[in-house]
Amino acid sequence: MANVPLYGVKTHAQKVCSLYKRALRNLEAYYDRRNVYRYQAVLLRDRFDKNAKITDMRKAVELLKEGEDELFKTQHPIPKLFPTSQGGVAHQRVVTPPDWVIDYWHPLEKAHFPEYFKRREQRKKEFIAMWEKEYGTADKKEEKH
Amino acid sequence: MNNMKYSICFISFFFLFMMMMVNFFFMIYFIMNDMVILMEWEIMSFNSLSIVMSILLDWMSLLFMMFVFLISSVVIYYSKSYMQSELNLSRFIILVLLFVFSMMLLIISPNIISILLGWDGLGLVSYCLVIYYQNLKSYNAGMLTALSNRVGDVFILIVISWMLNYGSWNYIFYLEFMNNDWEMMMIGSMIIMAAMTKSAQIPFSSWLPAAMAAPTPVSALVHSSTLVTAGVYLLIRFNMMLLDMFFLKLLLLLSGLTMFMAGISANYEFDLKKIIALSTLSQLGLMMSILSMGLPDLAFFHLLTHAMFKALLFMCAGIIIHMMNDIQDIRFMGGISLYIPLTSLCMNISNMALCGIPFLAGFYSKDLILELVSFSNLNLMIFFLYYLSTGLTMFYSFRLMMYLMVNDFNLLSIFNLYDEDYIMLKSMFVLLFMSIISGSFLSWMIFSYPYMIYLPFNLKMMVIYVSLVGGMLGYFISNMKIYSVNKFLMTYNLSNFLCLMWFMPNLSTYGLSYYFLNLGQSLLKNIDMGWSEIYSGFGMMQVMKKYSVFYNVYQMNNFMIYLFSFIIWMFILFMMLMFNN
Amino acid sequence: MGQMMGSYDARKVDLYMDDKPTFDPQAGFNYQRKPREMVAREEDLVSAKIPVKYRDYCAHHLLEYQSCRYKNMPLLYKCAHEKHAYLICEKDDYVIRMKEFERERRLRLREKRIVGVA
Repeated sequence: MANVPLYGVKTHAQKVCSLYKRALRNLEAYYDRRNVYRYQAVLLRDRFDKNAKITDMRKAVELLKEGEDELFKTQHPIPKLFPTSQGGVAHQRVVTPPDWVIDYWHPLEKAHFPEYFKRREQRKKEFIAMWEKEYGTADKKEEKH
Repeated sequence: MNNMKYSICFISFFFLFMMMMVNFFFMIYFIMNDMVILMEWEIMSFNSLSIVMSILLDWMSLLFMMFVFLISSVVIYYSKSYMQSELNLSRFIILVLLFVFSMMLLIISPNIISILLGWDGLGLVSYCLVIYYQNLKSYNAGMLTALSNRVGDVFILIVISWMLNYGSWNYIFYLEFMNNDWEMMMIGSMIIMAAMTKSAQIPFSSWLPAAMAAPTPVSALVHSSTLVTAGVYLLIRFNMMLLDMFFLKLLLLLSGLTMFMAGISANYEFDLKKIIALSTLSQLGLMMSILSMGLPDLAFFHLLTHAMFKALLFMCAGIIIHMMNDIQDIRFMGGISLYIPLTSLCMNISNMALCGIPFLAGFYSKDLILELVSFSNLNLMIFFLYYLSTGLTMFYSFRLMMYLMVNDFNLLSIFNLYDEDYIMLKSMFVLLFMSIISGSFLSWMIFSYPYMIYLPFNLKMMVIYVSLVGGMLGYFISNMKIYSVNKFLMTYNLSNFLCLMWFMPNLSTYGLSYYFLNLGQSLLKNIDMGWSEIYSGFGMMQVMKKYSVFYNVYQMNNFMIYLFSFIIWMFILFMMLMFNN
Repeated sequence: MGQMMGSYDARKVDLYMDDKPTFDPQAGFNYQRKPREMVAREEDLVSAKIPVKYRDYCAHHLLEYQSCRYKNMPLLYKCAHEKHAYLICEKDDYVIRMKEFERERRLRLREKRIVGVA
């Protein structure tokens, strides 16, 4: 799954699994009590399982397209999202500053944490050494444009 | 700042609470003696123009100020615990205080310039508060809020310029006497439009559910009691002038429709704060419509009692959201009344007050409104809108109660459910006490001249019939069993229409701005970054570079250039001599 | 639509909400009818600054209610008796006005019948 050469190319099995997961989430939006949802989810799984063993690719692709259409036509206008997921209420509320911001601190502020910054400089040197071991040293020509 | 003995929250809570007590005593004194104080500072006056800065203190302003101080003090104390993980809490509290002071300026001003100061201040500060969590949803919501409020500001600016025609900006003096002028009618219609934008009536109602992206204390203060009631308050002040106008009938229709639409949409909504926002919208429609029937003191009464229990409802919702780690979707919640009894007590009482259960706060205002509506002569459709909306209020309140409290627990673990946050609880208990007492207290205080209502038995009981039917429907719709088919799926197209507020937010956001934004983008890409780069930006620089290289040749003191130009000049002279004959 | 359906009977005889009675007040009664008179005095009403639209035949109860309010402020629930008396008087006044309207309507109908026969 991770060694996809091109971005966006999916196998048929991946597409079916994605459709199944999205359909389950859609069902969760309609049937919010857990026991009721479980019953409806089993029914949905049965619908998927009935067509699971088809080897004729034309029919399988057509069924997949019909499934996508049905999901689109019955999607819930207010899907049940977790708050920090994309489209949820608390998405991107808390921002973690990137790591390189610490390098821009004033030296007086850096003096509050002497050991950390010593270790940080050591870590930077080790990182550069690791990079150069794997990819070779940087070209002198590329330093200035 | 880190080693202060009392936090800024406690100091502002104390200050606002003391102001509230002072206002309470003054209000009682003013009602008792039927006193009005108008203080004026003259800025400029010549011929027949007089520009003054004035402050009007009558019982209505003092009462409203008392309520606003109470709610804001309680909300600031509440946000001490709600926003404790916030690094810049001082910034938040200062924004809320700025909001409260703008509202005060709006309440005590009898002239339209200081109303504009307060009005614009409210709009601006509410924008800053809505975008407080700076994510994409908040930015969109803030833009929607600010632009809708801005439309109202434009109307008030037009009113200001038009009112100068009458010689001063103190509208208080013109209300009864200038009723029949055409200009006054136009001014009145502008004021109605401005109030409609602020109080989110039908053409401008998309910002109120969207503004729930703000933090919950902001919603409790701003979107339940103060910002959205500024429009209603403005119309209450102007009511003498508006009484026989056509636009008032239009307002009656639009606000009745708002009431109805918000009630229906709240039934399909699953976000806790959006349900409460739509409930606020419905009650605002009720206030506006009773105002447009010529009963301003009833609108004022409902405004005050509604502020109490709506702020309480938002604060309870805030505690629930806090406990569920920011989840606002009621499909994740259930059965919490077993674990947080005090919060669910406050939630229950405020919901019952909202529905108009007898003898709580909402009953006095809502029941009186509905009885007076039945007593007057009305269109059948408006009558149905009122009663159906009351039934719908009961419907969505019952549904909310079922989802939150009665059904089984739906989230993963009950570890977070924690009812001992005494700061938030103490602030809620103040509002709880007021939400029970204030209905009865105000109904004695405000109505010096009581309303007589003489109705047949069934018409008087209509409220109760409609509420019972609504309650039963609310129970049935949230009772989900294994064998039940989801009613949303069965009526998919209709439910989509009713759920998304009749697609009006789409009309007033995409519909209005899609063409102009597209136009803006094509202007940017084609003209700003395209042709005008060639003709005046980058292209001009290239031209100048090329030709300055060319012209450099002349400045290099090349002898051949001089000889060549000498020959050319001789040639020209020769041609001129030749052709002059 | 409610006021269209409910006022059909009155509009049929050309009678509208604000019309005054046009027939003789004594016609059809076997006892002597007295015109209604104000109990509260004009100067009392003026000095209490009661708005003009509340100076009707029940204003004496209103004056009592206002003075009770002033005495008992802020414990206004103690004025319940005076408020109830005022509202009862207003209700009686409403019923009297309703009956006058109905009487006017029936007399006009009767006149139409009589003129139609003649």
